[in-house]
Amino acid sequence: MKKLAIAAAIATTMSGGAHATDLNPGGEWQIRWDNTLKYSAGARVESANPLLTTGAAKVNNDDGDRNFSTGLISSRYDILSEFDAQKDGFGIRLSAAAWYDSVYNQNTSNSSTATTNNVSVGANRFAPETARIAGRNAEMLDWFVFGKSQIGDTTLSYRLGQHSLIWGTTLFFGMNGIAKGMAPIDLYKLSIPGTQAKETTIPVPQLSSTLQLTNDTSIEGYVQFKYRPTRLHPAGSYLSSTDMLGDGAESIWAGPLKLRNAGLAKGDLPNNVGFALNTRSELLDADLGFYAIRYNDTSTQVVTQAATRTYYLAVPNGVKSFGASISRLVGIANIGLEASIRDGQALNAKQGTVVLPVGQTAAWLNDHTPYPTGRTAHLNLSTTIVSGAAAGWDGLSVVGELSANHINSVQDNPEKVDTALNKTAWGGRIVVTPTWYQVLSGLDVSVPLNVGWAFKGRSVIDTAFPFSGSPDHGGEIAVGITGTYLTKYIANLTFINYRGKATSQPLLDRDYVRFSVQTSF
Amino acid sequence: MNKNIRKLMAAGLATIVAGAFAQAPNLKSGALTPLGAERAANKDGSIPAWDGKPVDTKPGADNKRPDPYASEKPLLQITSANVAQYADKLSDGTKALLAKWPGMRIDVYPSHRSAVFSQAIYDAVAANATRAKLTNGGLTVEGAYGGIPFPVPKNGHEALWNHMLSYRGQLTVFTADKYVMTANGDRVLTNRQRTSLAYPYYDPKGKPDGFSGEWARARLDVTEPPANAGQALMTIDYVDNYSKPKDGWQYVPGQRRVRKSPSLVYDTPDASAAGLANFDDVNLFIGAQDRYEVKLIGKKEIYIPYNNNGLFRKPVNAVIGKGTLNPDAVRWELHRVWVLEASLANGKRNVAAKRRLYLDEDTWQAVLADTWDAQGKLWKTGQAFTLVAGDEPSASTLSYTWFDLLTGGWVYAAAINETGGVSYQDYDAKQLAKFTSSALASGGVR
Repeated sequence: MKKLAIAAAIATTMSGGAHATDLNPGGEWQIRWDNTLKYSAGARVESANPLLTTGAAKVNNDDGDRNFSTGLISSRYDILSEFDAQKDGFGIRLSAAAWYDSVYNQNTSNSSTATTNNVSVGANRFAPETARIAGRNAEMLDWFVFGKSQIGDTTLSYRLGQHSLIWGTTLFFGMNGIAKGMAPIDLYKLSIPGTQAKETTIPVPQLSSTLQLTNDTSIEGYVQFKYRPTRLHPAGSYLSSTDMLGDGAESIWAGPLKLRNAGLAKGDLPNNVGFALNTRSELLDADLGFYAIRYNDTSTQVVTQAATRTYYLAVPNGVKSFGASISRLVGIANIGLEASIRDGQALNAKQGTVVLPVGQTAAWLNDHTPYPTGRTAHLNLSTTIVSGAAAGWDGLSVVGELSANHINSVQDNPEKVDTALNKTAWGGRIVVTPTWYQVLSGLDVSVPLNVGWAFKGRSVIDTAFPFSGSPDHGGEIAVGITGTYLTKYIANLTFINYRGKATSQPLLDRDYVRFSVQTSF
Repeated sequence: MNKNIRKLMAAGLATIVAGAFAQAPNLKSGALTPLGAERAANKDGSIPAWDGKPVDTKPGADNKRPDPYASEKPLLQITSANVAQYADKLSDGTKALLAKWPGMRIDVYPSHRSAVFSQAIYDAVAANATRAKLTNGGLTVEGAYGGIPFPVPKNGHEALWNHMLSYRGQLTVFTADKYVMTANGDRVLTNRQRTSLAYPYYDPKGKPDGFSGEWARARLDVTEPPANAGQALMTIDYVDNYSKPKDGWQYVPGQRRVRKSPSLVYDTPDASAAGLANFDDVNLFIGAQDRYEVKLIGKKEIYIPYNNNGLFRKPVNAVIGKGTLNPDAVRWELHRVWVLEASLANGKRNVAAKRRLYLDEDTWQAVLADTWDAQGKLWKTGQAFTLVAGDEPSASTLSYTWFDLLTGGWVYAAAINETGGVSYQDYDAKQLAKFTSSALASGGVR
């Protein structure tokens, strides 16, 4: 029964709620339907910095900045609905999300017709896809059936349908680990306060299965049936830092030319597959995991073709990744270390070198790789600590991660590699959350302090490493206050401050405050 | 081997064994019960002798057990008006609750020594009496198996291990709620979870020599509140708390992966208890003893909550009172308890600077607890409520409460009023496959 308390503690980091709709509490079937409602709003607190919006180099990075003057950047309603039904370990799960953000259903503040990357609408409008993804949408998340069978002394369990699956010990830097090849991330939703973990990985149609061999050892595998890219901040949305990527990206300025987005070029897309072995070492008193996966990168590469005034977003095919993780207690801290190497990882190219030859169509990408690739190494070291009262607070949690990557060798197109970028890059994030219980009757308050920092940020492997924009020697500081009333209503107010230099921190002038209130029932 | 040598060796072994038993207490028929409690009644007969006969508690289809004493009437009622008359039979915390809440009342019923266990447990306790010992300053139990380790405890650490390793079934499954009552009187269901407990320490097929050192594996599947539904947790507790702290794993919904959890022990607050209880407050005390000097004060006759099958059967609306549980719902009896006092060891810290624990002599489980803060002020008091399962047979505390005497907030944990009863099953090593981190991952739906 100590366990009661413990499970509850896990709940802490997440949010609270109250009575769910337990449709059949006593029967053989367990049926649940839960809903989470949320309102959130954000406001920009400083004006656009001309250093970040003007000049030829900024024409493909300025829309998100120019679209918003100080004041409201979001006023959004979210609903997440989840339905499960199961009996004896077999069942079905469905979940869906819908949202409406009035700000993205209005005009923008952008008057720069000379630099807008919009094509279908004017500078003072959000591109239709941006307005849809950021402004009003509804989508299915999970839809899958699950079950299990006993085979001798082993248990086989499986899920078939659209769902998410992540391996490894990574906490924050999933794109730098095995997780990168397993599940695309919804970066836009990640920036909406109060978003739960179950909404931030984008589920993909797949068959996944676990065979539990002994109490301590299991093997897992999956095969995915559909490709989905990472969902970036839609082009022109408040935190977007590139205008040619993400939903709503309509064009790219190449000198005086405006090349139109011709969409995803998936190439000769094989299915994503992966295998894992999980075991527990008595000797090391640790959990060990070994992983091998092959995937089509969730991050796309820009391939331009001046002749047709178009560009494609090419999906790097068949990247291989091998990794291992170890996790154990050291004192009261959980320490997790995840290391992996990749073969065929796309690298950042010198500007203007990744082109589709004249006369070729996207089909050319089936057999050709116009961008550089390489063998790379990735390391994520994470910790979680939960502890008790001290002078200033009733409870404290610390969650942190250091993340690093390094290029070992270049495979395709070595001459195109952008050598101005770093062969090794590293960054980290730490979230320290002191909590005070029953500050007022029924009200618990916590003050999360979240610092993300790129110690050496301009990675040749990933322009979004360690965060969006790769702010070299920069990052972000978020200070918030969260109140939980009767474990059911959660409100949060956070101030986000971006640090770094104008040359490498595209979000430097986008400090903002965010508020959210939510409940589940 | 030569027959004579073998004979000689057997004789020698017999002498050693006999020697050990000569020092062992007579637990089968002497003054002590098989678990080391006093067998006889007290002087005035208000505490009866232990007769070792299980009571009839045949559970219904919902695993709820009837109250075998439902027809009894209280012998006396203690309120703030007459508390002085009974002061020597009440804990400090009980007196503080009576003083704080005008509606608080203690209904004292006839005492029943219903705690009866199986012969296998009695045999194991008798064997433990001569083979179990503490090492590492009380952090490690060696040589014990299948029963409480120290039927005649020589010190506080031994008595506290008896509480921790007391019998709560072999494979026990129930769904339990946690309610927090705020200072303003709001009642909040903060957690509901399916709780599965496996006790390898009580595997009847096991042997002390082959014992892995894991005394309990727990699996918790959270269903309420909705925002937390789908979370799951698994823990392993070891009898060697010195070199093997409690292990834990958690299932993260949405990612469908299992992560090793940080250490959730000592005075880290349980957020679902709104900070009213810490991780070491579960079952009134659990966990490593290294932060405390534990003194065995002695035995005492006091009023404790006991034989509370009736409490577990009532709807929660009938159970939650103002400031405390509804006095009509709680059965108190006079019992002999061991009194333990845990004070912070030199150089150690815990928000509870001093704890007093009252262990029921028949089950060894804590039934009342008082906690003092660093300023020496009585701060919290806890009560644990005993479920009698004569069908198992067993008696063990299940639900428990913690009251913050300073703020008036309180928590009612492991409540089964709305969730059905307790299923006790025979230990089956194959079942351990459900108590693993990979089982958490493969069983996760959300």
